[in-house]
Amino acid sequence: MDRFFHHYFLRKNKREEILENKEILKCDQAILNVDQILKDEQIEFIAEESLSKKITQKVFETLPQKIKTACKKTADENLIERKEVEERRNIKVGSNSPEFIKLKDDGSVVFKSKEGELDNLRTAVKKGTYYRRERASYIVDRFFEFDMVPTTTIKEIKDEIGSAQRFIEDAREFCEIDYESKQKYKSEIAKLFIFDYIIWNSDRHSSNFLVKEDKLYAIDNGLSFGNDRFKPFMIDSPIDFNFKEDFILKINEIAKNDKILDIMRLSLEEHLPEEEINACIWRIKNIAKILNDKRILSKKIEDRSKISGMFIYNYEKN
Amino acid sequence: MRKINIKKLQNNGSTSIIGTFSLDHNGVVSYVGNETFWENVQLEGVYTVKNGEARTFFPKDGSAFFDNLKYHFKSAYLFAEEEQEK
Repeated sequence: MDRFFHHYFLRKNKREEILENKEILKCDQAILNVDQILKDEQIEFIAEESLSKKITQKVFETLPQKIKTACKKTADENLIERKEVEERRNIKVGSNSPEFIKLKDDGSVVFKSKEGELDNLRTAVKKGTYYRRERASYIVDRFFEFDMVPTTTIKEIKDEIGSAQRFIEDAREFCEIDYESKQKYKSEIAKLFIFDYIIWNSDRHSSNFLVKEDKLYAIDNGLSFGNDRFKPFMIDSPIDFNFKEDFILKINEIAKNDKILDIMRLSLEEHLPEEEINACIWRIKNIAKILNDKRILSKKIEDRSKISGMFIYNYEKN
Repeated sequence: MRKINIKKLQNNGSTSIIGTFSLDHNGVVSYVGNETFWENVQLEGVYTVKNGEARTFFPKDGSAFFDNLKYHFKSAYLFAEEEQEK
């Protein structure tokens, strides 16, 4: 039995106790809910479940409890990485080749192989790295607890490596919904705007984020983090920048905590070049400063660069 | 006449057509299918980044719009299929 399952079964009794108390149905989603409940409890260190090989037991033991949770893979990440593939379907997209993968007894994922990546989509983001950027974007999303990027892991399927992202059933692309229905997503879109700034995503438009009920899902994050200039695109839907207080607090909590940023850096190292991580961390600090000063972001781009040619957003006083 | 289907991925992994764009010999784009989707496309256009430059094309741009459909609609959930000549 591998260590993951050993760890899983060790916690089984505790899980069952919670399941009974909360009367949660025994399904995969319930297991995830249980993990949420277990979050605040003592977390055991298991190297394979860490977001980075560099987060060793020694490093782990020095971390505050909250960061310990952040730097460990979730149950869903482990399931996607390890579950057997039951069925593969090539989706035959005109410009790349994602696959719909049904996992054995555990839902579905969208798999994008390294080999299937197209060239020339963005000068500074080379073909063969998109799948790593999908994973890196998910890691950033997790650290901030934005909860917008569906669980995304690196998975090997029959000698092919790529990103595997949890498929969201019954979701709709933003471009499928009418103007009236879009209004309720204003604050989520504002959050997405900040997320895309942090990950420096050049490819966000209304057909690569999903909505389902009140929730928004940021998919297609492969063209992110590149060290270059581009004119970011924002959809024309009305966007207000009145961020909720707890959202700003969360950005601050990370931007001002070097320990968290160090762990985030370690977690991203496997996926991104150092200079792109540095630029990402600079953007996190920059956005915190802007939000704290109660300045608002404008859509204008200031034509100057900071850190290895990175653009920054211009801002206006309130 | 050139045609491109826009398809949507279903929960079971199958796909269904939500609309079809056509480009005639005079470079005029037409569309048949889901109306809400068409309204959004007319409003927002299709967006591509090439050589560091972002550009947006609208149906009135004819073949430039049509040729960029596959670079814009490339999500696994909703995507432009390979072009067909009819």
